[in-house]
Amino acid sequence: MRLTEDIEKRIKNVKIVIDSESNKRVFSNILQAFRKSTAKDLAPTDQPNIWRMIFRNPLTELAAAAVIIIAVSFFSIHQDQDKQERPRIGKVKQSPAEMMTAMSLKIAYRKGGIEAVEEQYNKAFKQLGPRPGSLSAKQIFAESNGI
Amino acid sequence: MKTMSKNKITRTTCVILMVMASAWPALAYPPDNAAVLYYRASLTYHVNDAMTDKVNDIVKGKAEIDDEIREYVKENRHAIKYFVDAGEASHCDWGLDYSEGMELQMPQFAPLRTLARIVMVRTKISTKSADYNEALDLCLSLHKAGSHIGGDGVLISYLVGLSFNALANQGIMDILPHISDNPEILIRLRGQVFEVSGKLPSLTASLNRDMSVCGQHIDKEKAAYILDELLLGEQISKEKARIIRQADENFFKASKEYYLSHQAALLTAIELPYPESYEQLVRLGEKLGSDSKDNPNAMLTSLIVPAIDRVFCLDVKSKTHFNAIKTAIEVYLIKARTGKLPDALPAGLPGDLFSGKAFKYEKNADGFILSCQGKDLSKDKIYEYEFKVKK
Repeated sequence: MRLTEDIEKRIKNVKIVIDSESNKRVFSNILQAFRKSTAKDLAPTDQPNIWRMIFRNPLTELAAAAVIIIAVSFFSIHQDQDKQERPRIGKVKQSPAEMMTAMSLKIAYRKGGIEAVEEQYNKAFKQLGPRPGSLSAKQIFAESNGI
Repeated sequence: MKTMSKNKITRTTCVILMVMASAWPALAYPPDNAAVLYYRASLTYHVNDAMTDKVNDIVKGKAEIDDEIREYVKENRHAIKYFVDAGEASHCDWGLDYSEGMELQMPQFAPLRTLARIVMVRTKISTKSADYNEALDLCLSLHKAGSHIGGDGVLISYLVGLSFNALANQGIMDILPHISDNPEILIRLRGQVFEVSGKLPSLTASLNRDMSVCGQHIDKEKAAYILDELLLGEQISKEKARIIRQADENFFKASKEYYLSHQAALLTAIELPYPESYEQLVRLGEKLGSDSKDNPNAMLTSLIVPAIDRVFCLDVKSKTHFNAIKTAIEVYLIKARTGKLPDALPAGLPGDLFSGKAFKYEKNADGFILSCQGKDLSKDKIYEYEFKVKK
């Protein structure tokens, strides 16, 4: 009892100095010990082979194949969606109004002359959509009466 | 009593006359401002993608006029009328706010380019039905629209205007053989061409305006817009854009000074005769290119100034073509008067602007050829214009 009390007393009074060097040393010792124990734990001779277990039973084999197929298709669908949704870097879409500014048209001209300017206009107007056709007096009256 | 009643009649008449006089300008047609009618024409023409393709093919000579296209042109008769009437207006104010700098919106040119091609097809229809006066009026309306669009605008407006002039020149060339024996129409055309010549847009004015508008963006706050646009257009690296964004006021001040001195050099160069001018413009372009690698102050100028030597050559090409048409009209008039083509060109006719000399004139079995004596140095090409004579 006296020995225990003595140890407790010593521990309480001890001054712990923490520096980065000792930190590193302690951490590398722990890591080394952990690696050794993990390697030992997962030694092939000691572990049951899960793949062997699956393929021994035709039912589990079928189920595993189904899970793999579902996982692969799920992953590929999501990847495609990502590709579609992700904006292209450096090619952010311009609004039709932005496409018809003096600067934007000038850049188009620099790239491909007056044909490129026209192409830019076509793209902008395509985005703007069709213009309203002729407006008859009948339509105006109908709309006014509806208000 | 008599005087009083007479006074009343006089007063009433005066009031009516005053009201009529004040209301008259509001009712006048066409309006003074051509842009009103161009905008109106843009709103009125019938948009049809399939027909637009067909119109383009006909203008390029890849397709023939058929009933379907005649019907489409007929549907657009009101838009064509506004377009032609706009040419008669004394001035054209598009209502653009140039203080917006390069953010200035210019959507008005796209529908007008489509409409110009429809007008061109209508010209071909009129030529087919031997209505040459109408066909020529339509061509000249394209020239007038070119001047209205290109005059006082920025460089892009100027280039669009130039494309209208090129279309009009081609249209007149196609009609000329049909009227080669008709002095009446030729004299009328000569007068119209003379009128249009005086209104052709000036590259110097346009370049000056463009550079002032662009120059607004050589500024710490306003540079962001053009940098974003240049990045989008893949005209600048991200690294370069980042450096410019982080630059201080002194950088922009020095960049502006470089820009203004480059602008002054360009404006001086385009006033020289063609070969010297072209050489000088190319040299300035090369200097700008090399400066932008070593001198940070040249970086922004190199990013916003297009290849002016190319624009200059297009301008000279279009005006030379128009001069060839003017010369050809005189040759045709001699033929109409004397019954045969002259052996040489009369003196004092407008010449080839590439060489600054008169056109080379050569008769052949179908008519005559006017050739330039100087090359288009940007394409290393000598232009020839062939004019046929009605047999």
